[in-house]
Amino acid sequence: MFASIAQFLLAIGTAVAARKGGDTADLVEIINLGAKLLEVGTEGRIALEALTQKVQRMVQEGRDPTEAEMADVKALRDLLHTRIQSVVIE
Amino acid sequence: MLPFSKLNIGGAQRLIAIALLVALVLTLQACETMNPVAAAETPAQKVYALSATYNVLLGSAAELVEDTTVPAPVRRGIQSVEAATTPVIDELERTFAEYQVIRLQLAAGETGQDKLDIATANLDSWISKAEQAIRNLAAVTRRN
Repeated sequence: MFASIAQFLLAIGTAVAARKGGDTADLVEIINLGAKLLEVGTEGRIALEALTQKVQRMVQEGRDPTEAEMADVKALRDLLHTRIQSVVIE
Repeated sequence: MLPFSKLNIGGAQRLIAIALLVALVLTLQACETMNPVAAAETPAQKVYALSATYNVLLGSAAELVEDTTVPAPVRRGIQSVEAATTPVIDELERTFAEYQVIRLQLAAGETGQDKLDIATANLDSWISKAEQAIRNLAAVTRRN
């Protein structure tokens, strides 16, 4: 559903941008950024659902995360941190 | 988000922008129902849930920072917040490792309960800081 909303908003943003006359730059920016946030939000929501289910399984199994699971989380965090900080924004 | 009063927009466009805000609010409310941290019971599960939840946000943050169509101030803001919040999660995991060592030492009779009490309080403190770090990163990835 959220992906559809995002596509809808992107289409509106494109249509507004194509319209001649009037100062619509700010509105286009808002709509397009909103659409991107919805897209990101959809992916994040799916990931959070999967993570919640994984933690619930841990609880049901009566176990704590393994060292390998903790190491995987740390490795991904390091990777994403480097990815974010290496972007040069002009 | 820019206030409507500063925008030169007509009635239909204003309605579209309002619809967008409503959609964003609905998305945020849906996200709040996904809570791995609330599902966790033990300290280890909670630390894992916090760290992994943070990674989900980091993934979203990375996409936004790399997207050249997102306004530069928003991207810089995300970079700035991330630089401050990731060390908090690193410290949470380091504190948890210390807590685990002391717990094992206590079980082996090599240390006292007072040491574990201190480690537990320290861990609780970093869990609170990590929760705040997640809120801070979520704020810049979702609302800017």
